[in-house]
Amino acid sequence: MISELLEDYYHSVEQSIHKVWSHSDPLTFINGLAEEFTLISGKVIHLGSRAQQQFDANEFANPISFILFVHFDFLKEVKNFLILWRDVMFQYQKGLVLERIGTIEKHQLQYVKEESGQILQDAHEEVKGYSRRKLSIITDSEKTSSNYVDSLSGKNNPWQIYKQQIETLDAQTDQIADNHVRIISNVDLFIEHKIDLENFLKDMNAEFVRIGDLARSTIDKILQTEESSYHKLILQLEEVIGQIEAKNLLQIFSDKCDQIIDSLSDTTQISIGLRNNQLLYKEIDFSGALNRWINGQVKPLLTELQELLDSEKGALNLNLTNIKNRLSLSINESYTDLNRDIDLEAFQNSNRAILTSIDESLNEFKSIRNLVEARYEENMNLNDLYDLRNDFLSSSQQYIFEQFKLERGSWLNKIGQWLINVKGRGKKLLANVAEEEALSESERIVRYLENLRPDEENYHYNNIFSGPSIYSDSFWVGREQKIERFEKVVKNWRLGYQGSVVLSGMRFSGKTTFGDLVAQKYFNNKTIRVRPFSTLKIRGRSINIKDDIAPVMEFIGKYTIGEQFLIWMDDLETWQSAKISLQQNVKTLLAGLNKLTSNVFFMTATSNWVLFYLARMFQFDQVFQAEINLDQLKEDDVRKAISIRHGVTHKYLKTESGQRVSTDEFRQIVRNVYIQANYNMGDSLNLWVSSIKFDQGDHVIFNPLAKYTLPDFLNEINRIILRFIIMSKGTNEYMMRRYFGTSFTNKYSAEIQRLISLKILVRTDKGMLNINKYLVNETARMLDDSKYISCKR
Amino acid sequence: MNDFNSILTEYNWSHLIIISILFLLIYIIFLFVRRVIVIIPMAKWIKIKFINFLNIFFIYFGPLATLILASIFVLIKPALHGLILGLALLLAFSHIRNFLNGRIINSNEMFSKGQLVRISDKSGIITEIGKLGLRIRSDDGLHYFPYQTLLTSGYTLSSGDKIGGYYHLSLRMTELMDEDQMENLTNIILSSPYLDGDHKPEFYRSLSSEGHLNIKVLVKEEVHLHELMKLLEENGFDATLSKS
Repeated sequence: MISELLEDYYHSVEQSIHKVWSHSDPLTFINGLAEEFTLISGKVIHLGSRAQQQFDANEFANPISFILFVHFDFLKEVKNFLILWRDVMFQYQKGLVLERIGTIEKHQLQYVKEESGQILQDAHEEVKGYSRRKLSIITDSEKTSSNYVDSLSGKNNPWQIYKQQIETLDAQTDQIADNHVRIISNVDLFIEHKIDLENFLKDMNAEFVRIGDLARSTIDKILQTEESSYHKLILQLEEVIGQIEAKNLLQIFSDKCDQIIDSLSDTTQISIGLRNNQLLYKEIDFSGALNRWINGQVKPLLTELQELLDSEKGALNLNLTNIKNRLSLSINESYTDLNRDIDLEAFQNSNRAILTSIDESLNEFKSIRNLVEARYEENMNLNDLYDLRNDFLSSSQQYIFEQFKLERGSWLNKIGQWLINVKGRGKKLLANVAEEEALSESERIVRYLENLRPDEENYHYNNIFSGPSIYSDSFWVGREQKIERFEKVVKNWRLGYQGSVVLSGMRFSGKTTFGDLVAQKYFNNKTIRVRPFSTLKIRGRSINIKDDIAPVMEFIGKYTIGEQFLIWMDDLETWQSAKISLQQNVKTLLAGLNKLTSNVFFMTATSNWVLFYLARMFQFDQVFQAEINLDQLKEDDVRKAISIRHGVTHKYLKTESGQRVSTDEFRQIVRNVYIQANYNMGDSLNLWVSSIKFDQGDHVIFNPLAKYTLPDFLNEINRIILRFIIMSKGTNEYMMRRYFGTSFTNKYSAEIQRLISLKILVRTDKGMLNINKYLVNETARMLDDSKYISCKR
Repeated sequence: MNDFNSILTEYNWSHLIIISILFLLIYIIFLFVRRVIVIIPMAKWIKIKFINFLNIFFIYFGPLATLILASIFVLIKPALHGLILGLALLLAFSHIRNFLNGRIINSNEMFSKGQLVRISDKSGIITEIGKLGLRIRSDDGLHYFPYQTLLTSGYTLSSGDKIGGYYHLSLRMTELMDEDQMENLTNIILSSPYLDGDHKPEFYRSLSSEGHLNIKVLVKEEVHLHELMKLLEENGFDATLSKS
């Protein structure tokens, strides 16, 4: 009987409300709401279906007015009640999220729960009361029943519509319950991410402070050092250097970020509000939104912070290493011919400068940190989940889409405009070509060299880049394989094999620096450096070296017995003069090497083309255990070298427009320099210096060089001259007259004057002729193309 | 199959005109690029490779485009146009052959005006490098050689740095050289800037002439050989050129 079903419904609702509101656990409460809703709506649908069955079958166990009452009036009231139930469920679920975020308090949520329970109870009583009253009126007499039925004639039975609506409401409550866990877990992940960020920023701050403290402590240590305790200071500096490097905080934070992004949900439909009895939804891709936002808005800033910290660490590292090396050199007796006076005050001042830089960086760190926090505050507001107007972590995709729609119509205009621009540019290009073709070869050479001339006002800055080789542990980066190879040869030598290595490479590839560094690393205090026109000292005995290797080899053979030494002969090609040719010296050297006892390790360095020539003429390369070529260099290594040297200058880099060069721009600039310098370290440093202009204050200006090409200025006459000069790494007319014969005066000397006037050849302070350092490698390549030398190994 | 047949057979004048215009546009663009490449900033080695590519393009583009257009011309009306083209080819075959050969020969820039060259039994200076052949001035007048002749008879370049080579020097010794003199001679030769570093000079006694020491040397240009001989003379060694 329908009336029984009706009563059953009333009873079920009361029981359900009581049952659900007895749950204290929020998740159980939410799930309970959904389950009981399903139960209640099931009963309603069952009631409606039974009424419909009776109506269709004309089996009126109940009066027809009763049946119509169920469909027309009762279901209307129940539907509204069920909407209220759904809304209560939504509001409570929203409240749970807001409580999790911290927007509302727990007690407020509890109050909402209790109040909503009461509201539902009252609503149900009202529905029940109304239904009973209405029913009693309708079924009071035949007349009232008949009047009621008549009042509904002509109207469509709304049963199917109500049924559908109730089923929809049921699905909505199920969805609210299903999504609740997902939403809460996503919210928790976002909260965790925010905590990670706070920790990261705190740790970064602490790192800056720590580096500052290290710099401060070093100043104190230097202050307390006396000349007799340089060894102790060296050990202390090594300890501090070891403490500089720490874990990469950005990497740790990024990894955690990635984990969180992976754990977040993909596109999820969540209910966000109510309007006119409708439940409003929003689709949110939690994972994608956070990923895009972090990468677009946050990571660049955090990368800048990390770079700032790395720069300060690098500068401190470089400075302390320089001080340590200077101190080491001062107590190494092999280097007595070099002036290595120790100036402790200068060391302190350099550290103080770094400390100042660290403090400034810390201020910059704070402003970037504030910016990051502001962005989080503004954009990562979890309350926006329920904001009907704003997207959560909005990206610019919508904006791009709108722009696309607007611009679609104006494409044709754009094409026309583009064609006009192309025509204009084409004309300009042709005019430039005509101008270029009008230039003579000499004008192009001069233009090329003038483009590379460094700013003389910037001499302090330039000196750091183009001064004498400075020892730095950063030099090791990218050279690890070479060093390992060298170490192997040294190990084999210590086991009794012959020990000899030749270093090769283009000019300025770092042969001398590499040689000096491995000498210090593996043969500290046991290195004998041999150069023409210098004094050689071994075990208290000395000899004046001129241009002949023979007496040198004899001296070494005599006074190195019983002890292991490294003979370091840099720039092999400089062992020639008007009296003795390189070929004579090399022959003597090779003969001498065979006679040297196994306690001498021999290392020499020379350019690729000289080595190729000597290999052809004397099988020179076969005498050596290993040839280590220093031409291969990665872009990262050049970037680090430039970055660290620039850091030491304590200058900021700005563009011509006055904007500070960002990290990405810096990277791109270095890349261009690296490519333009044909991947050569020394040329890269020179090109960098040429690009930097002096400015007042604490910054320098980056002025990109014009990309001029060096014209091919080789001809039949100067090829042979340039080959001779490049093979000897410096010569003079007297020497050239000796080797060329009278043809030099008759034919070649005029060309030399021409090359000097074009600054292709330059004269040193000692009157020696050399190829301009900005052109030497390029000239080598041209001679290689002409097959006059071979500069590839 | 039908599509393939239609590609082969269905051509008309509009196709020919459109493809001609397309080829023309391509040619103009490449011409423009070749003109402006000099000021386009790029790494030198890339520029060189690109210029080489452009040179190859210009050598082969013309004949290839002509071939394609001629094919389309024939396919418009195979019988009639085939006949016309056949006749034209017959009449101009040797010129076309010389033209194509010339493009290939001149692609590696072997010839330049003023260069000494020997073709067949004629030796002279190149006065003109034409599209179909070379003009050479010798002692007995002006000669014209189509490129086909160069390929069939061959040619010898007699100057320029592309014809350096091995030479044998013969040193006359009035008395036996002692070790120091030999050392001195070796040093002069080895340290001389005139030698090509690709080959180590070889010293050997001449079997045919007693009292002579032969040295086999490699030079980049013939003029360097003479300068080397002069250098030896200045150092007291009488050197002459012997047959290689």
